[in-house]
Amino acid sequence: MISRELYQALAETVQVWIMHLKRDATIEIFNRYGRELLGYTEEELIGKNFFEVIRYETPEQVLRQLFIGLLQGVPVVGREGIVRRKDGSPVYVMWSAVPTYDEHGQVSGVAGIAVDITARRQAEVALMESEARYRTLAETAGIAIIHVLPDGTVTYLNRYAEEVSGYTREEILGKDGFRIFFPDFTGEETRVQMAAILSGEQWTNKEVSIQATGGTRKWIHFSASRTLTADGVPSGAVISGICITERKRMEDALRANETLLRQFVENSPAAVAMFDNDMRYLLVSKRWMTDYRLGDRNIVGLSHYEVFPEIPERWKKIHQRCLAGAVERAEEDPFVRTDGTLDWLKWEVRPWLNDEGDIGGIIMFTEVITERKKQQEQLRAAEEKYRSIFENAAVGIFQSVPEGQYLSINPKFAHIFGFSSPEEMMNAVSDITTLYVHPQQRKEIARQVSESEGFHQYENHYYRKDRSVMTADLYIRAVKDNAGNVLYLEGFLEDITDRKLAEEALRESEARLNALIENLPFDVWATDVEGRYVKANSVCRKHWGDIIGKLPEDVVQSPATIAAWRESNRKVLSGEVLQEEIEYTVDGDNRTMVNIVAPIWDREMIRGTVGVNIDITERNRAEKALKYRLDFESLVSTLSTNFINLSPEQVDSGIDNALGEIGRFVGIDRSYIFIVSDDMSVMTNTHEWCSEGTKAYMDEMQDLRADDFPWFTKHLRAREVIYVPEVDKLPPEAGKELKYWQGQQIRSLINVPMISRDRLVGFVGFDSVEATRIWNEDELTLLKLVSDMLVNALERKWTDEELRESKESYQLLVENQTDLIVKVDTEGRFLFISPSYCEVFGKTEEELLGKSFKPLVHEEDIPATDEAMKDLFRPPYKCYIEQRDLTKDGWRWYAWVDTSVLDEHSNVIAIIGVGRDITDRKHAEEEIRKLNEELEHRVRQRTEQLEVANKELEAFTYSVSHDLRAPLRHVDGFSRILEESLGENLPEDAARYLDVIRYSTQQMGRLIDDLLSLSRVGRRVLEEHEVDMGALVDDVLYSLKDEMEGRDIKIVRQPLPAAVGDPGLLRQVWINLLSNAIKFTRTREKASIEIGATAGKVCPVYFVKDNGVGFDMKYAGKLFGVFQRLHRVEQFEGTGVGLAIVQRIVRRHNGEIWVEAVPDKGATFFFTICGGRE
Amino acid sequence: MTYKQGVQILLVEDNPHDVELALHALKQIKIANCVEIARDGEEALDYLFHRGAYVSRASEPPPRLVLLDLKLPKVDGLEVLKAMKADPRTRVIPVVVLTASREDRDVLASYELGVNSYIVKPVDFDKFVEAVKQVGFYWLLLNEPVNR
Repeated sequence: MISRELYQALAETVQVWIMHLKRDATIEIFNRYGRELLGYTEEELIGKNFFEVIRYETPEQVLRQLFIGLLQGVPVVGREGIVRRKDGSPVYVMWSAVPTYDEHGQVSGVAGIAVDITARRQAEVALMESEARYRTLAETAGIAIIHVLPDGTVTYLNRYAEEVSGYTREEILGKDGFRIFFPDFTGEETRVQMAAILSGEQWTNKEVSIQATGGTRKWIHFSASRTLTADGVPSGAVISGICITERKRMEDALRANETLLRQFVENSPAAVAMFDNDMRYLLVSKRWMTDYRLGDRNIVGLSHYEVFPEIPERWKKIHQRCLAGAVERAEEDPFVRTDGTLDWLKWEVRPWLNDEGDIGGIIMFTEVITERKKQQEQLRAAEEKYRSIFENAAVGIFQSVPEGQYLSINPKFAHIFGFSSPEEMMNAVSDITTLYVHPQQRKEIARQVSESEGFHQYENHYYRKDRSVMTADLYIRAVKDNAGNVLYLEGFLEDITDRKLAEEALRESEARLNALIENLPFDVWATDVEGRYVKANSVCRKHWGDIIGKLPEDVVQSPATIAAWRESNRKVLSGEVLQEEIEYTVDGDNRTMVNIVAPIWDREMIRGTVGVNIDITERNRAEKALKYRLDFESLVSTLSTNFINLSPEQVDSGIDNALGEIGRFVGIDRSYIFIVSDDMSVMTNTHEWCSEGTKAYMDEMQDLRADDFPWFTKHLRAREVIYVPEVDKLPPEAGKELKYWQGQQIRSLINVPMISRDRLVGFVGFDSVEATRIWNEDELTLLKLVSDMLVNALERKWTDEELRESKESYQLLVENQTDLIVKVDTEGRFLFISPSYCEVFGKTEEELLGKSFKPLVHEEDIPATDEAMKDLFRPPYKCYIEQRDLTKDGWRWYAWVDTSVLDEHSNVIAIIGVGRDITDRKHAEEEIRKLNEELEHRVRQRTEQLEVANKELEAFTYSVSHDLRAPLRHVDGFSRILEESLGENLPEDAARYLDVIRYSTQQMGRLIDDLLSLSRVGRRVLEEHEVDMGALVDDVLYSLKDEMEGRDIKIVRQPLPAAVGDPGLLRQVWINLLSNAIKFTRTREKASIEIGATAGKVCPVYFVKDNGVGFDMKYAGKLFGVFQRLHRVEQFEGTGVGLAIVQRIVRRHNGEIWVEAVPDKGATFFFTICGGRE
Repeated sequence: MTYKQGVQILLVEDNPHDVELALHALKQIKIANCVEIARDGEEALDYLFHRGAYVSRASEPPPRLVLLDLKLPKVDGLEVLKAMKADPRTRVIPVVVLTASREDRDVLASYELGVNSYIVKPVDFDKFVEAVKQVGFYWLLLNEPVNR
């Protein structure tokens, strides 16, 4: 027996959950694996009641019953259940339990063992779900799905395929699918088709008619594509077919057919065995015994190798490694039995430790998973098959959620939408609604399918990836859970764009054709072979009433007509095409009709007739009218051409001829032209043509008074065409005209006004005497053309006459000209020369015509002439030239005014020149020019001379200033030194002489200085400033205060206007005048000086008035001369230059200076400063 | 050639009478002995720039004042003035133009060239003496020359 410790050690070590409960369900043992699996500590479990601590999914009642059974000795084996971990998460376990016995053989408790199967369970569930989904899809599809092997053997077909074929699944499986679904195919065709599919060709749009059960034929639209194994080898083909005849019934066929899936087969329970170091069995579970078919043998104590002598060496090595401490396991391991059968094992081998901590042996846990493995394989195969169908189907398959995302789609589905793969499409389309051309449709579809069962079919427009629109049939249903909640939507999609477009095109073409025929403006009808009308267009119906379904005899009464129609029908039905023109009369109108009848061929059979009646009366008439018009136009055109070639003298006879031609053409009796006077008071017949036997009236109709024909004249003045279809029916107001025309037997007439340059010149008329004549609009238009033509001809004649007259007067003018007139071409060659020209140049017209004028022009004037003439070839197209021409009297000056003659394109075609002799004027000008030149020359000479003189003067003054004073200085200097050196020894006379010498030299110095300053005034460049004369005078008076020292001088200065001038020079003026005033009042006890200004004519007049000695006015003229003095030096010192300076300054300022004086009374100096330079 | 030691004034004057009168005037302020006379512009420049006859005078101090006539033979006074003011060695020597010309253009040109004073020789000898005295006093006795 195995000790309790051994048990415990074993229990603690194994990778299974082992526990032992006492009879009252108190936990006695709960091994480590178990605790870790459920997340409890030992303290939380040991001694506690199992049912109170451990939570599980199995109803407690069931568990307790099992527990009671165990206490009564009934073991539980291989049960599966869900236990909750301490944290509440579920653990799938497979468990077994056995009663344990005490030494008395009484049940002392229950030993339980459990293994965790959660992972395996989850995988299985997933696989099952997937398989179930595809299976459901395939089984419930409203589309026939058949899978065949490469040789055509059917390995799968769904219910719909059964339904469509009329065979049961059992009848078809393993048979040749092509034979069944495509009975029309020969064996060879079958092979070819299959080979194509297997090579990867998409096989679509094969529409096959199948004789289904019940005798009705069904049209199935088949498509096929190959299936591949995981290795990529073609494994067969999926053929899918959609019944397009009974789409409605498809819904029924597609009703969900829930298939119960096989239950999870009973799993093999765990087996465990415990060995000692010598591999002898210490403990073994019953399952082990069962699993290894050991029956009831007691193997405990036996060596494992005795029990299983066939154990391979590999296993023995595993045992040894584990006995050495290793833990080994395998999830799947094949195990070949002695009887040759193969079992798949899941196993684990690990050592167990005894109390001493040494390895006491190993524990083996095995599970035979052969069955499960088989099931998994089968599931995988099934899943693969359905997946393959899904992946390779030739229709688009999808699953989506109602909210608008795809769960899965197959490649075909993605291709339909233009995507390269399902992944691409799934990524790109997050909202299915966006694929719909009408997005609200998707919502409506989702709603409809969610609210009902089974498949619905819709035809919608979708956008492809490239936004092109396609039409597709959608088969869709909602997949719901048991509670009826929608899990997802699934279905199929077939692109029917091409089919749809073809149908649409056909329908449109038919509609167009119908509309066309319906609206043709003539009878169109069709009959069947019996002659019964089957079609009639609107015109036909209008003419013949509603004839559909009627026979000819129902439409017309005349037996002859009926016979004729029947005869023509017979001919047409035998294949002839009839065409004839029929003349008939309606309301006295003769009309022509074309009748065409032809057979209707359909697949080499005549199915009826089609006919048309076309009224060609109007066309015939229009053709005639057109020909008449063309002929008329041609006549007018010919006549016009003739007129062009006529000389003006021939125009009259040309007009007579034209009147005749037109009269004959339009078939009237008289044609004529009247010319009216400018004031329209008189009308005269100028041309007339009459047909044979018609009376001419031209001689009578001269200078008719317009007032005699008031009605006619009124309309003529309004420039209207006067058209009288019937003279007899003229209105009363045309009474005078009626009488006149009736007197000439005129029945109808038409008169067309002739207008030239917006002036009424006359009219052209056409009378009918024999019968009345109707003129239509076209003819009227042509008559206006005739009128224009005649006016043009007359115009030409008149213009020519006028021209001739004007030419004569022009010639008269030119010939009497004294001016010269010439016309030259663009090269300067004479085209016309006036007689005056010939006269002046002494040449004849013949000598000059065609020659250039240039040789007659003076050589020196040619360049200027050429230059001026350039203006003749550009705007203003005129020029003026003065040139010397070689006349018979020698060179003469001529002024030419030339003008270009332009054509309508502004091209110069000739030049008209008018010349006039200007020789006298030219000479006079020349004289003046010479005089001017001479004058200018003289002025220049003078100026130069003046400039030279100025320079000399300058040099002179400079010398004076510098050199003349040197000797004076020396005389003065040495006289002074002489005086000093002689000192007291100088005789009295000598001293006086020296004084005179020195006074004279100094006087000389002053004279020189004054002269120089006068000279400077003349040469100085004037400054120009506004000068405050009042302030200036005050300043000057102040500077002169030394000179007024000790004097009684009353000075009155009035306000002075400002002046513009050189401040320095003006100052000098005031200094000189004022110091003179002071000087010459010296003899006065009470001197008086008044300074003021009065308004002058141009500018202010300044004055300085004193009460000094004055002078006799007879010397006034000398006053301003240089060195002129009116007083003796002993009396008043001075050099006589001061006033000369003043005068020069005033004159340089554009001013004047004058003086009024009375001897011994005083003098007044006036001056003006008018600003600006001299 | 010998020349005066301790020259205070260089008198540039071609007219011997003028020279004599000038010296007479300068004598009255006791500086006539310190006057060197140049008879034309060239000689003046030779003296100032130690050229020609004056080449050995290089070590001598420059004159403290130049009295310059404008109208001179060979090189005229304005040219002498221009040369002096253009050369750093002579630029600082005061130059007084002593001339008969009271022409504006001469006055203007002189001042533009940097002359220190411009004196028109009066015909009245007393006034001349007075002017020379004042110039001499001012430039030689009152004015502080540039230290070399």
